[in-house]
Amino acid sequence: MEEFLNDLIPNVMARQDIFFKSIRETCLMVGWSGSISFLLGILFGVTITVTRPDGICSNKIVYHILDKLVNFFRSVPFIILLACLVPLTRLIMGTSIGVKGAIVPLVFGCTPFFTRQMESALAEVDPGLIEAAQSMGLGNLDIIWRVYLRESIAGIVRGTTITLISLIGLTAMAGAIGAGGLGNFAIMYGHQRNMLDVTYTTVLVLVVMVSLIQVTGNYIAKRNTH
Amino acid sequence: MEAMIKFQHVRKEFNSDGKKFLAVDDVSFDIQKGEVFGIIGFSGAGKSTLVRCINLLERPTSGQVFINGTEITELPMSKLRQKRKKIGMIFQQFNLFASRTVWDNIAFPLKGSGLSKEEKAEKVEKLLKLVELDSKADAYPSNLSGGQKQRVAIARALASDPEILLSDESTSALDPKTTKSILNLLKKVNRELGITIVVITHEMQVIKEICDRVAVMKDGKVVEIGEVFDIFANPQEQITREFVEHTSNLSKIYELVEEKSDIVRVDQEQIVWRLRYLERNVSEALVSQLSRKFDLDINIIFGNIELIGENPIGGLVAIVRGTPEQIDGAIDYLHEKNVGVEVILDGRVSE
Repeated sequence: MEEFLNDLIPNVMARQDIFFKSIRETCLMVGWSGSISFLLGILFGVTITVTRPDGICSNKIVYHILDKLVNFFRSVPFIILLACLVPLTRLIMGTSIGVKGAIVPLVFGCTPFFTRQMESALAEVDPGLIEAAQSMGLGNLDIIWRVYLRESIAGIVRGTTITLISLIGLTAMAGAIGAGGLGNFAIMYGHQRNMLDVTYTTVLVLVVMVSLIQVTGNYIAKRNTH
Repeated sequence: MEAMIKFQHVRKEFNSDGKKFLAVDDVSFDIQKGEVFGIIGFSGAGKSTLVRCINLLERPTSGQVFINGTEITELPMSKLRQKRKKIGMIFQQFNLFASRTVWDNIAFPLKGSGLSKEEKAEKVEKLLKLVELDSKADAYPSNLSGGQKQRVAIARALASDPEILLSDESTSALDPKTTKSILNLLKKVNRELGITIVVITHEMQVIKEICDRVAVMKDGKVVEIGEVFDIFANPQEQITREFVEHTSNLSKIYELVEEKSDIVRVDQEQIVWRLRYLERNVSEALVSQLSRKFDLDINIIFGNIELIGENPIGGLVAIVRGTPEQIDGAIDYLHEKNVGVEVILDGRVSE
């Protein structure tokens, strides 16, 4: 087996330690920035939903500020965002390279996208349910928790799946400018040293990762659809 | 009797795109404790808005709403939420939580009620029995029929022991048979639990079936209000008449006359009349009496006699043959008996 692999992907086998470290780094970046973006995205998505003009606690100022902020960050290409955020990243994390340096820009790149995903998941909650809950005397926090979030679990899971997959794409880009991970691995060896087997192996690993996320997401979403 | 719900000069104005729209226009009336009160009107008449002023899902622009003597438009939010728990509401689209089972839907309002787990279970079970859905406790709403969904919604609305149940077109999405069973359930809820019910509908059938009193709404105003029997027997406003006509087949005669149908072809000794029973006297053998007393041949084309509450109401359309004197005599006799007579076609004058 090992011989076979040595023949097939010699450059990867020769750099197994870097290869596995890259996979770990990618997982770390996705895990950390994904978790932070998930929480922030839910917070912002819910806030935008309830403060919109016909929402349960409409607030023009909060709604417009958040809405414009999300639009702003979504319109900046990620590669440029990476460069813009270097000073802020240094300030927060103490470094702008490596996995630690990648998390801040990844969160900035991912949260607005996930916020929109959350918004559309929450928008699918029938306004009639909100009205019914209000008629039962529920307060706004209860409505958010027991109706909005509870009723849109499937939608939130689908949005999370899409976001995680696009986040893997972002980590590869971050990798290209010094964050490490599979993106860095592929660019450094596969592209710059023209080791095609490295590129192909990276692609294969990414495809497997994306498929796993997709399958898991679909499964959870399905189990929560009644 | 004390008023359960009291509207006093309630107005509700909506602003959309700078245009003002008056949905409810100076409405004042009382709904008594323990009655089933109907509000009927075409869509856009303001009935949904008015009923939402009872639990303040819509806040009146001006005017007051009293629930059991408390002016609710001035209550702080926390007190209002307490009050809302005592006002159940059901909807045309059921509004069940799709991600929760039937059981969890019914238990939904019980969270934070201070009941123990066992007490909650007991309550849910009792409600499931009341709406005859014991076997569906673990089903999800998507697996229920429309009628079953509305039953779950009723059980859920009753979970917090309300004094009032608001029904917003709750049978409008259901077929006639299911509608009947839901209306029967509402009747049962009213009688057995003593809950005051406010029913909004655009179907006179629903009013006739369960309501004690009814208010007719048009363009945001209540144009007619009274006991259902009186409204049916003697509608005053044009719109009320339209609703009443709609529930019987008697008005079909006008179409037949229009079409000059063979059924209503009359000769010189015949007239077509429509009798309306205005008082609670339908039990008299009116037709045979007329026939005997005035020597008339009476051929009934349409008949529609129904029970409202305990009282029969309705009318007949018939072709009558007799001499002019006999017919006039019969009409006078009917007037005496307080039966409305409308001569639709008179062979004695036509042609």
